[in-house]
Amino acid sequence: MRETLSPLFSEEQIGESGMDRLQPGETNHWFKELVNDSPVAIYSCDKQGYITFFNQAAATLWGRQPDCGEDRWCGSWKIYYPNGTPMILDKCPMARALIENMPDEGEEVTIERPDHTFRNLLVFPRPLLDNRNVIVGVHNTLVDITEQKKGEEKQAILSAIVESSDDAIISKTLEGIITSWNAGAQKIFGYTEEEVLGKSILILIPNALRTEENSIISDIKAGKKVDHFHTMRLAKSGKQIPISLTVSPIKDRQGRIIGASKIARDISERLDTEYTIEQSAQRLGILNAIGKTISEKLDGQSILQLVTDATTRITGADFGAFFYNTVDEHGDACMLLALSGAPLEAFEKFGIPQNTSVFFPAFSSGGVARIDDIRKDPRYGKNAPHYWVPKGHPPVVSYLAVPLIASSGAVIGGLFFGHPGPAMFTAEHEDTVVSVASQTAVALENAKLFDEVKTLSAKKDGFIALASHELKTPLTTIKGYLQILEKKETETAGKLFIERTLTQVNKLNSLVSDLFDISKIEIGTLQLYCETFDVRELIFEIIETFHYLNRTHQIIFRDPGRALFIEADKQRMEQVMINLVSNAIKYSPGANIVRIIVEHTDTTVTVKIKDEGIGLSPIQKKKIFTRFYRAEEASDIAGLGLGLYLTKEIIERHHGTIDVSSELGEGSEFFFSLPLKST
Amino acid sequence: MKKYIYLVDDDDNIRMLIEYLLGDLGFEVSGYGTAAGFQQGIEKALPDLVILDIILPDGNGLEMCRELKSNQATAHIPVLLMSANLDNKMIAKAALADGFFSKPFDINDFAEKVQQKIAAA
Repeated sequence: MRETLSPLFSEEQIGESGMDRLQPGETNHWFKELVNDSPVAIYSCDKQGYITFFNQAAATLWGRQPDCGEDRWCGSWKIYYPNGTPMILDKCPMARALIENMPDEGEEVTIERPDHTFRNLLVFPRPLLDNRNVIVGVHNTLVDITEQKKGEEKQAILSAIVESSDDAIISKTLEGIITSWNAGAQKIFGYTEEEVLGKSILILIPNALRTEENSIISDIKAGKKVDHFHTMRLAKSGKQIPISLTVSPIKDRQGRIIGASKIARDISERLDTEYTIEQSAQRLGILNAIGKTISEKLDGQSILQLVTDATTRITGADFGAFFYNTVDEHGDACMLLALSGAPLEAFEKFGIPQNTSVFFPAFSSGGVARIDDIRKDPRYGKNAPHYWVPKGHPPVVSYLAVPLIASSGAVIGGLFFGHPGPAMFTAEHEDTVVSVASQTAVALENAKLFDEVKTLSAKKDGFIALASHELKTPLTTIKGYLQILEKKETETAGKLFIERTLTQVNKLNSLVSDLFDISKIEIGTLQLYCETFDVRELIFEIIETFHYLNRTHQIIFRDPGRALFIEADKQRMEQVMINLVSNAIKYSPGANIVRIIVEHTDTTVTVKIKDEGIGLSPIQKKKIFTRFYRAEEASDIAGLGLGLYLTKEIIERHHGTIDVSSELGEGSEFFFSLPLKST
Repeated sequence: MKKYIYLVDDDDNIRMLIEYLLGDLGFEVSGYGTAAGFQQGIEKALPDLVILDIILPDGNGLEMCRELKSNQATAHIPVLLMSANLDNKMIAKAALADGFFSKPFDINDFAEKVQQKIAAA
């Protein structure tokens, strides 16, 4: 480039610049060096606008090497006005400076480089005059302001962000003096910028939290950031505002910490929302728990205690109570049944609340009463003999009464809540208690029904126990005399009849025994008398018994060859085996074989009784172990359907299990498992 | 020598049945319908065997059995208990009874047991 340079500065020009102490040749060379090496872009054009010279800095700025004597006015690839409009080359500042013979001071242009990057420039074109003041060309100095411009833009964006933020953005010195204050800060804290600039940040900090500032500042000095710190700050109004605070160090160019920027977000709304959500969730949780529990519970007292406790908790009441709407022998009392939040003694001595004007509406009309300040209620204070809240009674200002109404519309009772502060109960509390009350009313009715059923059932079981015992007495005599007659009878037919009668008496006796056992199971008085014995021994005895009793079926049993000891009530286990084997015989009229199979593991023994009988349908299988169930197809087969129910109860009381596998028409296999006695 | 058996049961029919049954076997049976009656009887003369029903209008066979067994003078007398409730079988054992019959019983078993106990006494 320098080689293609045509002489730019005449010796005279240089002399005029005041450099005449230098030798002419020396001067030209010195200037060339200076211009060439300058970090500022410099170039010149002749009178026609053809570039005659440019330095290295200009080439770098343009991103290209223009052709001297070819390119005109400007070495850049493209040139624009600052607003982005393309600039006609002949109208560029250089051209204008030459044509108008006017130096241009710092006009801004934008150039585009061949690599499509842009630079912002300030241009300083000046005409070049010869000795006679005739314009011979023009030279230009280009100042690159791209970075500066970018910085300004960034600054503008940042300021806009800071100003438009809803968060308070404040900067302060390390001494805690406020140095900037945005609109968000004004909105949250109430102070204007003028009011706080230069003041201490302490004006925002509640007295109790002043030490916080020290620890924040020491963190900042250590270069640490304080992130999402939840605390309280003081607004101009004196109100304390919950905020989330982020404080970061501000560093100068050298990286020294010179202050702090803090961003404070008002989180009172968020906290309120969170609190509300938490409250609702808690309420829902309690409601759900109440609903579930009271629907499971079947005794009134514990339902009421639970409901009273829970609703007292939900409403935040100081105490809660449930009163039954019943009249006692004095004719005017309602009964206190459950109390929460206060000892029972606190209420016992005040007697009945029903006849007071405040209490009365809840019971009489079934209406809800929610009163913010009961002392201001016109009905208040009319209750003789106490008039106001009796001395010693937990103090009540806020009052809530919700009746429990039965499906019949009758008022079962009422839930009453009290709090010593005014306006403590909200509409939401009221709604919640009302919905709990309606659930409770249903639960109480169920509990009452269940109680009645339980009483009836107990009566029935007691009756069966008594009746079956009484039935045995005449059976004893009948059987005894029949046996005596059987011995004395000589006639074949008579003997046969007596024998048959005896069989029926035995059957009758076993039915009565079953009934008696069932009643004992229901009442819970079935006793087990356990002893240790070998299951095989039991099976052998059963086989022997059936050998005499039954002539239709052969019982096949393969001895497993080792003793299998269980601890059980032998008589009851005999009953189980007789039951299962009798059933197998009874329900397989077309077959002649019943198998008994014994299997065992280390801990259990399983006994299977398998027949080739009529089998069971899937529905029958499901119901077979329930009380009074019988296979319908077997209506001609006698029995009450108590046997398998009893069998299952006995097995389960021995910590065993019983089940059946069966296909209709394919026979059945009943199997029960019992724990082996560990040796 | 005739053996004496005291029988206590509040049901007349059962008493008649057992009296007939055991009388047929050559025993002298004294039947009582109440605990008090039995008490009077045993104070006059000791039997060779006692048969007690458990539920009595004025007493309990189990307690009576325990009393007999805990008394020096009567401890040697075999006592058989009867009940319509099978659960009493184990309780009877605990009351130190020598045997138990669940009602209704088989008269053959009954007779056999009585003869056996008297022979052993």
